[in-house]
Amino acid sequence: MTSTTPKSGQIMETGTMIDHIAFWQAPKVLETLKLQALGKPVAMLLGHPSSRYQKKDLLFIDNWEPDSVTELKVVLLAPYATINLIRDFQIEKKIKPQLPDIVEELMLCPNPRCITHSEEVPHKIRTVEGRLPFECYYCEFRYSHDQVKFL
Amino acid sequence: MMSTAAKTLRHLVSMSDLTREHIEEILHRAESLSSQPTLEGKQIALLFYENSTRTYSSFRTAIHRLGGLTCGFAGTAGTSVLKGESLHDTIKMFEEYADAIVLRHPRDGASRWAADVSSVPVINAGDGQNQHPTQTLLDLLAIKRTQGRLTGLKVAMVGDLKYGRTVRSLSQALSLFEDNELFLVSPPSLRLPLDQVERLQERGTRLQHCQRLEDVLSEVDICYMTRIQQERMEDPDEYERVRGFYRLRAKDLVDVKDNLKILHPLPRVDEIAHDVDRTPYAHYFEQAKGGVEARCAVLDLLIGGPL
Repeated sequence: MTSTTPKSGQIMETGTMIDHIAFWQAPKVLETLKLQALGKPVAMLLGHPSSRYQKKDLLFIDNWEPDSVTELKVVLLAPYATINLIRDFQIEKKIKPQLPDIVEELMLCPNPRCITHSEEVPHKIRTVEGRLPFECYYCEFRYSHDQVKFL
Repeated sequence: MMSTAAKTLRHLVSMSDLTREHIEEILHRAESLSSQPTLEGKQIALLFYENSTRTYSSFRTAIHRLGGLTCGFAGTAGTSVLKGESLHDTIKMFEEYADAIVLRHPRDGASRWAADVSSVPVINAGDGQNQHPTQTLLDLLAIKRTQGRLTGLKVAMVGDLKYGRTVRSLSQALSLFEDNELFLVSPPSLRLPLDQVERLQERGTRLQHCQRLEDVLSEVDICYMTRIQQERMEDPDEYERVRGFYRLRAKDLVDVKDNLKILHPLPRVDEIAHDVDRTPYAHYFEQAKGGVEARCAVLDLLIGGPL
């Protein structure tokens, strides 16, 4: 396999290519996007050589574009991901969503003792620097990308 | 005149709400307040969803000492909480009765939620395994009084570092002061959680993990003992594996620093033998006495009126 990232046009005419997903994280990203119901063809490339990260995953989703919430979900799961919109076998637009300081009503706190699991509380997760980039606004529990769960 | 600290602090939910200046201001007030009636005519709601001996009593004493009145409950027996009333609704009700709310709750993050909901100041008196900021302020008061400073200290934190909220709050507070070194002494299964370690390391606090208290006892200025918290463990076997892991006896205190003080948030079970009480190193009962002064200072800072 070549170390050059596959040209999107070699895979599909119209759709979305998500690049720079951490090695072996593409299945989790794909599961989160909940594309099964749409029945779109999907190609997944796992462990492709990467000059920056040694190995990376890519997702190719035919004839589909993410909305802004889905874009945010992708970057919450895969912080280095780039979303490429494909038209006529070419990359029409590159999207690199910025993380907000607080993610509201999108992510579940993974701490089972958190007040958000026992009361009707608006979910709020802070994004912070460091190896554990998410912190529950209420219980202050810090966690990694691996523990991200959506409402 | 209202201090800068008072202007910037509406609630006391977590040590992460406090700057070093806030802490110094509160400790200064704790030393200088006596029985001044700064809460005269004010009603404070004590909402204790969990059992408490010292925290409840010392808040009550502090409020009365400052001339205030109390309402609320200690334990949920006989309250609407048992009928399923939400924390939200309980807070909305008591904010109509009281000028401030002191809350203890078994859920992590309950106080932050209460503070968001409440129109009056909320003071966290312990939320699950998360935070216990007023305990930390009285711990700091004891450290300051016995060591004369809050910087450049070697502090051993011993026992249940996984479930203990006092350890979380105190370690965060000590990380605000320069050159402190923390020795985290625990069984492997009760180590300080990774997210807390990360938080301390971000501030440059030196940390050492170890299992044997005897390896560090001769080095430290403060030995902060904690109880293994059976009530917070989901697996009963987990408690059986770690109970009695640490038991400090007077005979262990032979080669220690003269200024060593042993602190404990209390209640103790068997982690400090009673013969330690008679040594010059025991300071846990004096530490607990400072709870009234520290809580007076917090109440005065948040809701005290001008004299």
